[in-house]
Amino acid sequence: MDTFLLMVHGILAVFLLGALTHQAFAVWWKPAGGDQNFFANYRAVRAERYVNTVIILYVLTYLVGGFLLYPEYRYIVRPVLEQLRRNSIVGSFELKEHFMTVGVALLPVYWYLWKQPPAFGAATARKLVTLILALLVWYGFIVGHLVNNTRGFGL
Amino acid sequence: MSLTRAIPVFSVVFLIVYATVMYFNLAPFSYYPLVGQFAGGVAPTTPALGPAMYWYGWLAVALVIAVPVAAIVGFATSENAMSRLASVAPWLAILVVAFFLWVLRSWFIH
Repeated sequence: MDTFLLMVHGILAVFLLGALTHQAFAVWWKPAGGDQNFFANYRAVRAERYVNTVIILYVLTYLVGGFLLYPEYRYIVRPVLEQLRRNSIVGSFELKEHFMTVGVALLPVYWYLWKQPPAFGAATARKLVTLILALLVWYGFIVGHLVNNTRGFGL
Repeated sequence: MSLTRAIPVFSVVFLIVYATVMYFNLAPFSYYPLVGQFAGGVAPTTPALGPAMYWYGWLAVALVIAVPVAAIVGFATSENAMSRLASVAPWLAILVVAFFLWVLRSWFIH
């Protein structure tokens, strides 16, 4: 069951990562009019269409990770890592716990900023909140894999 | 009252309260994942019950405070003020991320 949940968590994270990365590139690096290459097409998405999907995927990923998987990590995986003195790995995962919560806290304002007309600096804030969420999810994704594969990496 | 107006307040208050209760470990309850039991306050790790988790307690405090504060402030404040607050929220998130990096630095610096 744990392996199944871990795969579900990972797959949800991949979808979320893809959506947020597309959206972040679309708002920070808009393609020029004539660009037709792969990267220009990657960035040429309608970023506002991603908002609700990002929120749903983020909450689902957070719930599966934080409430179905994290408790077992806490008493099965972390004690072993601590005995092995893999402090940087444990610390990275502790940070993930808090960074992902910062992301959850940002979701309401992320929705608000994307639904509001860009005024009072909202356009900059919208770009910034999208970038922050994307970076937080990238961090969580990489650290999750790092912890999952610690022994395989020989760390 | 517009629910929309309360949304930026919720994010800002949640971030501040969560960082504060985590730093001072003000968990109203702890969870023992090994045995699936809750205990009041900041409970210690024991050989019988295993490690104690405080994270759910911190989340609960942040939620319980952020929801009513957002409702009250959202009711009392104008739409323009909320838009300005929403613009501040991402910068606050950056500060909170930096704060967690500083608080947890001992895991990385020996």
